[in-house]
Amino acid sequence: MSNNFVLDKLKQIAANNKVQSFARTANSEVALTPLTIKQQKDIIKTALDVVLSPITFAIATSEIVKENIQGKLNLTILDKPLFLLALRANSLGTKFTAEDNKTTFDFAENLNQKNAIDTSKLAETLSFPGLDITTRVPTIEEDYKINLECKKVLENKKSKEEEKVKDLIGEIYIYEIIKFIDSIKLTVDGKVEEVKFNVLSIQQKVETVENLPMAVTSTLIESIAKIRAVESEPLKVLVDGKDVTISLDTSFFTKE
Amino acid sequence: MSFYLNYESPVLKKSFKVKELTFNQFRDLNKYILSNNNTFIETFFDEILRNNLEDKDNLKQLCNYDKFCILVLLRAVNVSPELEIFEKNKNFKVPLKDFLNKCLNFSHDTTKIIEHDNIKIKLELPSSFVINNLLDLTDMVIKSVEIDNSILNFSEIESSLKKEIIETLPANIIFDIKKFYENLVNVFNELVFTLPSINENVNLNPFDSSLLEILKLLFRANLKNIYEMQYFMVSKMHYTPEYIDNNTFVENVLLLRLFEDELKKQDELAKKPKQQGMPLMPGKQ
Repeated sequence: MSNNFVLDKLKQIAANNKVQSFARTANSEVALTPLTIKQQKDIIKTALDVVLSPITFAIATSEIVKENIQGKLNLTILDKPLFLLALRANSLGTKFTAEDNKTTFDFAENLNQKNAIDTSKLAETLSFPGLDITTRVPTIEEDYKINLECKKVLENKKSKEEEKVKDLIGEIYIYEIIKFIDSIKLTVDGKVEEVKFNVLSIQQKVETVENLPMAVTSTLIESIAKIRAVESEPLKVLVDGKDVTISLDTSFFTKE
Repeated sequence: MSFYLNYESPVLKKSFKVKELTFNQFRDLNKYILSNNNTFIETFFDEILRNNLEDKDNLKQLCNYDKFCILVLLRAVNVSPELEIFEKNKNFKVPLKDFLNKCLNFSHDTTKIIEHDNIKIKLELPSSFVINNLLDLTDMVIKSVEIDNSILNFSEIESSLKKEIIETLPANIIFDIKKFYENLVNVFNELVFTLPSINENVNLNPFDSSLLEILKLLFRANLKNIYEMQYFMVSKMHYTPEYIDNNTFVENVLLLRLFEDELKKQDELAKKPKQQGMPLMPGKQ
């Protein structure tokens, strides 16, 4: 018998044990293959770099979702939390004890939430003198690519030991903002010029956002916060009568 | 013909025959210990075991704890039954017999079979002494995978296929491996190596570098003294280098002592005034 028999069989078992979840933006059921040891290790490794951990975690989990999901759906970041909850439930169960070791909760109910979202209703046009910015909900793929680029830039800066942690965090904010911009409309001397963000390179997007006035970026961040709030809706659990949001990080995938 | 020691594995519950540790192996080992490169040291320990085990293929079966016990046995028998430590202007002697007996009488089961989705996975102690990262543990403790009554032993397949199979296993196995690890760390806590010089107990843990560190301590010797010994035995005692190399260290020490005793006797005899006309007593020179 071929040695590959075991490997083939393992792949077959994974394919037969799909984890069911719900894509909120596609309003449809999706099936994911369960987490593998490699993916579990990839998640654990993201905790090793304290400063870049949130980005590396986001990259690792996006890779997992992309790899484990079946079908080609144009999924957005709003879909990701439910998928991650489903994968976590499959490997470790639905109970979790928070970092403080006191708060234990069960997110079994959250897995049944099937509220469809129309992403177009979340997009906003923010108007400023001579400037209109339209926001959007980024897809998992777009979020992933920008995170990859952000990580590369930050690692480079970190290795030069020139940048302080607070400067790196400032850099992360810029990359966060560019994910959510669909287009910018500029009015100069009565002439309107529209820049679609999807035609710009990541670097061009960064440079554009860096040149925006502070008041504009503050309003953009408020708008992004609204989308992020919708994103985290499936992560809300009731603990002792209070709403607690599950923090999706390495510890959520490494302890019961 | 080589002389073999008998080793009863407390893990595998079977016996192995191991050739004695030769003087040249001991000398070369000390070169590696001096280099302080744990990967090189481990490779050389493996080379000793591969060379000295009666059946060379047995090395594949041995976990790091078995390797550790065999090496402590060789150290106690072929180098010295005591560890001498000179510290704080004092010479401390640690007899190795009790420690070795404790290690050999370790009777806990160190294997576990976990089952997930019709997959049976056999976990055993790692074979390597060098474990840099606990994330690598999955690759080190999984020894076989069984599906539909077909068993795949990881010692018999290529490392690339082994890696691919491990990475494809369900993630929840990591938590079983973690429990297996935590349980064994607790069990091994009962085995300690005591260093009287600093009055400290070193816990044996097959999942960190403690086994290797204890071995380095046990085998460390003054390389200059080893070379002086070799030089003296060749130039003054006229043994061939090959003969010295193939002896054990303790045998060479014995030959040196015999030679020293003989020299002392000759010195004493030379100092004694000659008594003419008196016959020597029987048995005296």
